[in-house]
Amino acid sequence: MSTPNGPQDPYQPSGENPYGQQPPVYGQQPPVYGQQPGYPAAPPPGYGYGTPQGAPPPNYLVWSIITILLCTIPGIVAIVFSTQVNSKWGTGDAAGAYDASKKAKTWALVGTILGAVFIVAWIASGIFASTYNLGR
Amino acid sequence: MEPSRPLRSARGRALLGPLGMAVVTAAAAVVVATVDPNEPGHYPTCPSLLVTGLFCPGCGTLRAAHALLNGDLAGALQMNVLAVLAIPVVLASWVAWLRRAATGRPRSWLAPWWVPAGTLALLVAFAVARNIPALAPWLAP
Repeated sequence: MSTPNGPQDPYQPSGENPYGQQPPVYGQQPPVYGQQPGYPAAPPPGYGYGTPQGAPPPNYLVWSIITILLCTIPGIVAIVFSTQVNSKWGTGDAAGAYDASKKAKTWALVGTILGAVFIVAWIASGIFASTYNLGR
Repeated sequence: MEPSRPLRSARGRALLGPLGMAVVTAAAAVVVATVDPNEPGHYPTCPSLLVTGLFCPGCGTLRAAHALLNGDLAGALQMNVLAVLAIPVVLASWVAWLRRAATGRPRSWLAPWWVPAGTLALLVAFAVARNIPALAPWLAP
């Protein structure tokens, strides 16, 4: 993306080189990439979908939904953070979106581990019940 | 934005996620298709149902999966409508995951905030509604 009124166009075709000491030896180097890659420092609010540049973070929504099938509560917390990922990304808050993404992942993982514990306990109790019935 | 080409081994490792998930899901599907959850004693009762006595949004998913894998769509819908409706979404999400892993390209799009928020609202509404006796014939497992 090029800024319409950039600081100074280094390729201005003026005869006088403003940086007189430096002949354009590094001509291959595009000067636009000198800035921080990624997000603009302060995106204007109300700019429509002021989505930041770059790859959006995962919101782990589907994982959270599957977690709900295993054990409800951490999955719901994960979906709340999934919502934050999308809303913060949509308003240009890339750092906040990545932070919410990390939290969503953590809660989905907690739900998955709890679900796995449930399933193991489930199977163990099933085996226990069947052996108990056999013993009677 | 041009992604840096990952190494072949890194690409292979990225594919382990979606492909491994497919193998595990297929194995689980074989078990659920053959071992009938409607027969008591095949699977123990869900601890969440056992403790609270309430149907959570996931209740009936095992029976719905069993019905669907045996070609009974109506029976599956009766057990858990939302779980059946979620299947295409989950499949599409898995395909997107596979494509990202195969191409090494990061995701480029995120749904608006109301998609996850609406999902959460739908799940909570479903959890409440299926425990209302008047709605139980349609929504309870």
